[in-house]
Order: sequence, then structure tokens, then C-alpha cells
Amino acid sequence: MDAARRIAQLGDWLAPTDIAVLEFTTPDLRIRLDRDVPPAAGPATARTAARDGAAPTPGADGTTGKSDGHRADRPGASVVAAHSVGVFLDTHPLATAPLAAVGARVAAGQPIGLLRIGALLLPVAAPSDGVVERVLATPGEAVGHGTPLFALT
Amino acid sequence: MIEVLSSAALASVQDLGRTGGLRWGVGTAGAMDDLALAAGNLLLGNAPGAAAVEIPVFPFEVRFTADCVFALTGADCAARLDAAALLPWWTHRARAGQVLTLGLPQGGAGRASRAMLCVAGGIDVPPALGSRSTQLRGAFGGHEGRALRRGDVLRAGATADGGGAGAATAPHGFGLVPPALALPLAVDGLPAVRVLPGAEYPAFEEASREAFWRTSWKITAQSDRYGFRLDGEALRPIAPMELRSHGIVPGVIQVPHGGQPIVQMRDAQPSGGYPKFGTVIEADLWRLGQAPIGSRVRFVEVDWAQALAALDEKAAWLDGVARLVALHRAAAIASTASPRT
Repeated sequence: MDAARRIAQLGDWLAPTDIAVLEFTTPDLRIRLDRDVPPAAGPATARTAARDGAAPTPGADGTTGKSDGHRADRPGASVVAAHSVGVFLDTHPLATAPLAAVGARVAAGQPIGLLRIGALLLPVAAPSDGVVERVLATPGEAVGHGTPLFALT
Repeated sequence: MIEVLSSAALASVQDLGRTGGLRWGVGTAGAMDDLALAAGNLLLGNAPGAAAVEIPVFPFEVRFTADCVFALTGADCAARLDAAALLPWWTHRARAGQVLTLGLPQGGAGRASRAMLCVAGGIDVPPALGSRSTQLRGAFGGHEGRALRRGDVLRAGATADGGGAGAATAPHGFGLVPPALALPLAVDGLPAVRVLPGAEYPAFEEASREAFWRTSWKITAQSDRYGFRLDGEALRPIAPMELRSHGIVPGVIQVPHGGQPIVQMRDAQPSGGYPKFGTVIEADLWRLGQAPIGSRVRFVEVDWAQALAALDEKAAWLDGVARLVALHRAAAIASTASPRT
């Protein structure tokens, strides 16, 4: 059996993400991988992924994120990545103005985008105080886990 | 838990209504937008029928007297918690002492008119005849049987998972696509509601029946939780009708002698004697309940099967919300509970 090799492969895939726990259960099998996520990469952030050129995270639907060519342009910039599969929205469905337009100053924890899953809306929170430098995903498009959404400086 | 700071009248505690009392002459009351109430409760992990505060007049202010997780649904009122802007149709956490302010409804011509403030655990008022809704006509139920006023203090009940009142640690910070967008219904750019022709419909002139569906109807200033008086082309009966009073329910469209219809709403009296032109279907009462005074609506004729299908569609939307929210809340609780370094 190559189960050990496959688990190691899962670990490699998890390495560049902010996923802390991966749990997989079938009637006769349960696998749980726990990782120590560095405190700098809280939920909804993947700041190191863009800076050190790590490979984009495969999305849950098998697609890769669009980080190639969408890297944060300047040193000091951080990339905010999708923490879930969903449809990316930069504007609340009831609003006309985006939650955080390019150039807007945002505070840590502030919702700067949304991920829509059916009727559910999940926030994309700013990981730190900063300024929105670029919007990296197209509003209305489905994104996978880890897809870069915003560049903040 | 929450203290009312506004003198603004007409805000009231409502749940999904007091059903089963019509035989005693007790009307249903209940939230004018039952979908906003149920969705707000589901966001918080409450039963869909937990009591909440319905707010029709703005600005409206409350102070949280304890930490609390709450949801705002219904009209988007540019809400603020102290100075911070809050997203509509969203769950938030308040700290003791913070002030929630709801401003004028946003959204231009398509705006809604009533906000729902739901709290984790629901508003804890004693049930009366099986419901926590305020029965304004009978002056019982809800908070002391009356609309809220400045200085009233409302408590939150215990949450389903055993959390303390208001469950200050409950999952929050997520929301919903409002049903007005998920289940849109409009005719010629105006909000529409579906209507079943009523018992006396055939007794009205052909031209009046045709005009009812073809023209728009203005919601006049004489409209409230009891009923909406509409303004439009007068509906003329073929011959004058005198009826004995009989049982009526929310949604019934009566036509008094002047020909301007009245739609009975959640605080409708349980009986009436005017001719019944039609009935706004149960599935669409929330749409009419959110239509602001001065706005115009259109009516769409449906049959019994279509009315039931609309009810199924509404239930399916709520089921989807319940399923997705439950998954997200479980994941949020699991990630808080799991040990992290």
C-alpha cells in the first residue's frame, strides 16, 4: 500500500495553505492531519504564498488558483486568498459600492469581499490594516480554496 | 439585554404568529416579513419562529446591556454599531454598552420598509396563547401587549445549544443573499404579489377585474400592520353587495363601497363584511409586508396549484438556508473548539 506516500503528498499540498485541520472519514477509515498554522497566516490570508513564490493551492474543485501573473506587485504587499470555495463578490448584493475599492484603507478583520455559497455569504476579511492595491479575482466568478482575491499593502 | 433608546413607536416583538385562535376571534399577528424573521433566526441557530423585534419606523436605536450575537434582516437600514457600519442580512456581535442604530431604509425604489432585529436565543417574552407575537388589537402578547417605547428592556432567551442569553460566543460574521434577490417577483419593474381571485370576484364589473391585474396600486399612508389601503382605479361591483360578517384572514383583499381595496395584513381583524375580491397568497405576504408606503405594486393572478407551488418554493429557499447555515455554524464551532497553537 502506498497510503503513507499519499498522506505525505496530502501534507505537501497542505503546506502552503492556511488549512489547520484536514479530516477525512469513511465507514472504515479516518484520517486526520493537524498542522501548526503560523500566527501571521490567520484565516483568509496566505501572505507567504505570494511572497515566496509557492505554488498556487489546488482549489477544492481541482482548479488551480490564478496566482501566476497576479502576484502582489510590491514588496510588503500581501495577498488575501479565498478561505472557501464560493462565488467571489466585491460588492454586497444589496449595495452598489464595493466593500473595499482599490485604494481604500481597510482595518484588520473588516470584510473586504464576500464568498457566496448558495444563499450563504461568507466574509473575506482583511488580515491586517492596509490599503487595497488590487482586486485579483473577477467578481461573480467561482473561486477555489486558496485563490488570490486581493493584494493589500 | 437590549434597551430601547428611541421613542419611535410601532416597533414590536413578533414571532411567526398566533395560529389557531381565529375561532375565538383572536387574530394571528406575527412578523409582516416572516421570511426575514425565519432567516434571521436560522442565521443565529434559533428555531425559525423565535421572537424578534420588527422595526417599521426609523431611525431606531437600542443599547446592548450585555454581550450578544444578533442578526439584522429585512430592510437594509444602513445599520451602525457605535460608529462601525454593519452589513445587512448578516450576523454581528455586540459588546455590552454598544449602541445599534438603524437609519432610513436603503435601496431606492426597490427598498424594503421593515427591519428585523433577531438575537441569539430569541426575544424572551412570555408566550400567550402559544405565541410571543404582540397582539396590538387585544393588547396582549409580545412585550406588555404593546408597541415598544423608550426605556423598554428586552431579554434574550437561552440558545438551543445551552449557551447563555444572547450566546455572546455564538458563530457570527456571515450572512445571506436576501430573498428579495433570490426569489424576485416583479411586473413592469414594480414589485408584484400573487393573488387568488376571491369569492365575490365574479360579482365585479369586467373592466374592474381587468384593471385590477393590469394597473399598478399605490400603498397609501393609511396602511399599517392591520391592513394596506390601496389607491388606484376604483373596483365597481356589478350590483351593490351587502354581506354578513364572516371570517377573514391576512391577505384577504376587501373592497369597501368607495371601490379602493384594502388588503388585510398580519393584525387583521378576524371577521369582516366587505366583498372579497381576492386573497394575496400566503407565500407572498412578506413581499407586500415590505412594500413601503407611497410605493406601487402589481397583482398577478394565480390558481390554487400555483399558490401552493409558491409556498413550496419559499420553503425550499428556507430549507437551503437552514442546511448551509447549519454546516457553516458547525464548522465555525469546530474550528473554535479544536486546539490550535
